[in-house]
Amino acid sequence: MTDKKLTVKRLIIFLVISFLPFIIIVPIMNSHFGKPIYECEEAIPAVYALGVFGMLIPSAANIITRLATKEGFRNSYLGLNIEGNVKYYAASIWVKLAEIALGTLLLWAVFLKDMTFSEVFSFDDMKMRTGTFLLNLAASVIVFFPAFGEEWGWRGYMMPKLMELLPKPAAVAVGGIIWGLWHAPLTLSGHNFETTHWGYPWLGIVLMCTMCITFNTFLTLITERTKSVYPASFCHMVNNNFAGATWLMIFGSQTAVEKISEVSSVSTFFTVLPISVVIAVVSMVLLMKKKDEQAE
Amino acid sequence: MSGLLYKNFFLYRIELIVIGVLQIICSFTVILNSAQTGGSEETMLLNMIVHFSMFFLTSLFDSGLFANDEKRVATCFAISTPKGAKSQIQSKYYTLLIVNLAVLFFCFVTDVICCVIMDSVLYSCASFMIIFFSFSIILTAFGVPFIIRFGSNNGGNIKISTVGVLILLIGIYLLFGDISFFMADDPVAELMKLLTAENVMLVLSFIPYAAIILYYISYRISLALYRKGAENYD
Repeated sequence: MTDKKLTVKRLIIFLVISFLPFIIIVPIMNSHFGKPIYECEEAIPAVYALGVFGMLIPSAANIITRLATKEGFRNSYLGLNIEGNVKYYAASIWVKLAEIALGTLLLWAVFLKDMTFSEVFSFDDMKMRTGTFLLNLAASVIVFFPAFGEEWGWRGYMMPKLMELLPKPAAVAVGGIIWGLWHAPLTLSGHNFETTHWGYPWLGIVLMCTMCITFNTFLTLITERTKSVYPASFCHMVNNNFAGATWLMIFGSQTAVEKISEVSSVSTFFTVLPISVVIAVVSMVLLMKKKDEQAE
Repeated sequence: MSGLLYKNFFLYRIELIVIGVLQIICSFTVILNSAQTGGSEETMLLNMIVHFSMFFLTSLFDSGLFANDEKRVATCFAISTPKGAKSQIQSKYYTLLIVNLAVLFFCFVTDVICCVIMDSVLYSCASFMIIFFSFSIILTAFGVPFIIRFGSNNGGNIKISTVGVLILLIGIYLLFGDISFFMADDPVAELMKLLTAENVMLVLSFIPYAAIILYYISYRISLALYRKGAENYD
């Protein structure tokens, strides 16, 4: 078997193992609760557990595929490789925090434009708000484990395989689409995009794939530069812990929070998308740049 | 580094097994407690105490990681390697951090299972786990330089004595300080209210960051003390 055929075989095995659990479990849960699980209050604990354990599936698929195909654990991206790569470790956190902060400001500019800055962002109880923010940021460490669970699968296994088979831009796009489609059973159940939006169910899946492509670009960059899966895990953990309008929830006034809660997730997605696209484009340029330097 | 980490985990295997058994016992205790009593603040408080105990017990086993390397020959060999004492000390700190992270992971998984059993996320201890983890890191950061300078036996004794003094101070506070929340109709609710009060919340939120800084400072101190400590070895 040629190298490429072996890579394709391993990729297929990995993807089948990664996709199957959600395809089986999520419809069963929807049926059990009688409605989409992300829109059912009784399902909250079950959804919490599904999120935590579900995010470990790609890593489990990584391990099973490596053992089943006798690939071994070389090039597993498990080394820290901090020396010379501190800037990528730092970027994994501050780029994501900056993206979320800018997204919050964009949400204000678009949906709360009739309110002044001091009406949107409340400075009462600053001690409590600062404490909540810092504790939330620190508690991201707990989210590290599920985030690592995903990243070791997608960036640590799938993306290197895709980059063996395709040019980098295509590999990043295909990787993002695969990652977005993996979320499809959840998206159809109301995850990230409620089930009442225009274009349901297809628009939600398309938007999720778009989000994953843009996020995948930056994650692939920091993974490839460090040859380590940990920066991507840190970035993912901050993303999940500060998702959506979390900054607004912590620092926003009651009125602002209520107004934003009424806006559809599709609208908020399109509002913050430009920032994600900018980061993705810059990341792709940097990802390609290394290849160009090596070619010279 | 991977070779040194493998060596550390191999030498530390007995303590790791003990920590693993303790973790299983703690997890079962918490899960059984949640299943029997259901979701309530009392259940949450008991679960928090068990989780805290797990992190505290883990930090007490730190000295076992250093005992097997306390030979002058081993130390001279470590210093003579290309990366010298730095990689040796780094590997110890990484090992202890990884063990604490593993405990954090298993406590978190236990908490998720408890939330499913209690059918509520309201009584999740996840946010307090980061504080317990930070305390464990701070205890480790405090104890390791003593272990490196004075040996695992003496260093461990100094650490336990310091913890004993802290417990004594807490006891003195309980005897003479303001414990009016114990006299309240619902002391558990009062304690929860105290922990989530503005000033307390702000102080608690700085602890994880202080832990990171103290852990790094501890590493730098240990590096400086390594050669001096080796003079005490046989």
